[in-house]
Amino acid sequence: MSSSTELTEKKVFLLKSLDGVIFEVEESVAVQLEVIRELIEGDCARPFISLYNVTSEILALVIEYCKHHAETCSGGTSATIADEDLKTFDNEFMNVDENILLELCSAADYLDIKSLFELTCRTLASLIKDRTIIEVRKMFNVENDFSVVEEKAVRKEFAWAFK
Amino acid sequence: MENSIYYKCINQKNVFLMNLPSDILVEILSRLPARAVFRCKCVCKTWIKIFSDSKFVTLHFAKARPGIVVHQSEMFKNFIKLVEFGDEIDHHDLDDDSLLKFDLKRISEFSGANIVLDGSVNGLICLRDSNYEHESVYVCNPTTREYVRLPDPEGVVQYPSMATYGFGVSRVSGEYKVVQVFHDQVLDPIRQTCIRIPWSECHVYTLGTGSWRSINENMLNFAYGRRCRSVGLFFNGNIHWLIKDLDDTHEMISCFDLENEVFQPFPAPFPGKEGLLGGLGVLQDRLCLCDNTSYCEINIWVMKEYGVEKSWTRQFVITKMTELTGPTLEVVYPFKIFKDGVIMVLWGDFFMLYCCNKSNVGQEVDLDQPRGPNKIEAMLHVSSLVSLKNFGFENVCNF
Repeated sequence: MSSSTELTEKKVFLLKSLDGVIFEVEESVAVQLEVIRELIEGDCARPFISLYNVTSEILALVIEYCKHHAETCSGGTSATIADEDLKTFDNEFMNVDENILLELCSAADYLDIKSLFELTCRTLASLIKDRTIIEVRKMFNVENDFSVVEEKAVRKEFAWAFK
Repeated sequence: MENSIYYKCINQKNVFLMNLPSDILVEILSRLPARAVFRCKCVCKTWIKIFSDSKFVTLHFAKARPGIVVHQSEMFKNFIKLVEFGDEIDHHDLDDDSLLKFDLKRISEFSGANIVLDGSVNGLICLRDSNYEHESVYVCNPTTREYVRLPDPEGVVQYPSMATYGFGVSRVSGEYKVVQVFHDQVLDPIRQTCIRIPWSECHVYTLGTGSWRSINENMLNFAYGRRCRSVGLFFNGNIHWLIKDLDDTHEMISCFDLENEVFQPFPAPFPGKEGLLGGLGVLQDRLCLCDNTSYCEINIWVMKEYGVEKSWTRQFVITKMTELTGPTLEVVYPFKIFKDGVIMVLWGDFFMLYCCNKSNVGQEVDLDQPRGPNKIEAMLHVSSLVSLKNFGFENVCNF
């Protein structure tokens, strides 16, 4: 009933990535980045906000994610349909190279976007779950610091966990 | 200007990955299922360190999906199974992928034992060899595959005397306690029901203390033994048993406060019924009593406000499927209600079922359940990586 006509112009903000690319985003997207919320609310977000830890490649993805979530949540569809829609989107969105996933995860942490952080952490965990030890080491760039004997012993101790 | 420095740095992708902040790594790893955690201990020494850190253990437990612990005993096998619920919205299946199982019979200590499951709390379970000749109590973490045999409880339980146990954690001090209620009973020679209790006692074992303590509480005239095995139900910091007040044969619920170690019985939802088949459970975070006395339906009473007698409400009426109608001797224990309204119950110690209170269609839980003279027990369970060594035990063994 009280759907007052939006007379005010839609607020937009400029986000600058680490490599200097500037993105224009609407307020509904920007507020999902908790880290800049205060800046926005305190009206200190001009002329642009520098995000030193995020590359343009990743920031573009983050914005795509926030945009879709903002649109779906305000779209007036029923909660269950919106939930389903977001789930499908999230699944598709996570269908990227694992290095990108790790960077997205790190960016979500830095930008403080809780849902994206949860999503990337869960996706990475399920990737690890299905990998061999050697693949996991590679994925996280972890050096094997066991001696041959030590590794044999630890593998034997947890042999039951290898099915 | 400043941007160019960062730019140079990020161009080397691996630099970023190698510097993945450890708190992010911990967050990712804390979402691994328990089995994957143990497998990943083989990745490197740093990861072993992460996994054994108490903060990681707490975080992992907080993220762990709820599930059930199942104990299945068959002639030549004695399985402990852990399985998580799938997390789809309108779904009530178990996630087969998460299934972990092992056979207790492979361990000589348990090979001749008559094992029963006496409790499940915060990832720990209480198992007991109920054979009266060598009754012994174990606290286990099936996820870490550790177990500890507690000192033997006092009193030889020989028919018609009886003992029942409960396992839980106190609300404020966070102490894990095993509670044993033991009483002698004089039976009515014809009906075999308890008519007098000459003496009774209660013992408590607090994890980390090394011995059982006797609780000076007057519990006379409350019969804990029922036709079927009685187990204390842990909920809300208290352990509950369905009991009978011998003075006026009313069904009561005995409630043992684990913090203050006192009994505060309160009334069951209806006056004493001869031969009531009642099973206690928790649904939607509320205490409930499941009545299976009727031939054609299962009635589930819910205590909407904990401890308030007047708040008992008959909330679910499940029409029994044809195979299960008629006279029965089985107590039904409800333990989980799903978003679609389907309730998971344990029928006696025979099988686990999905029941729907809208239709009389039941479905057996797909878990390779035992058949014939075998039995099954199940409780809610959330996996925890906590080591029993943290409770000060020195005699921790591995399954």
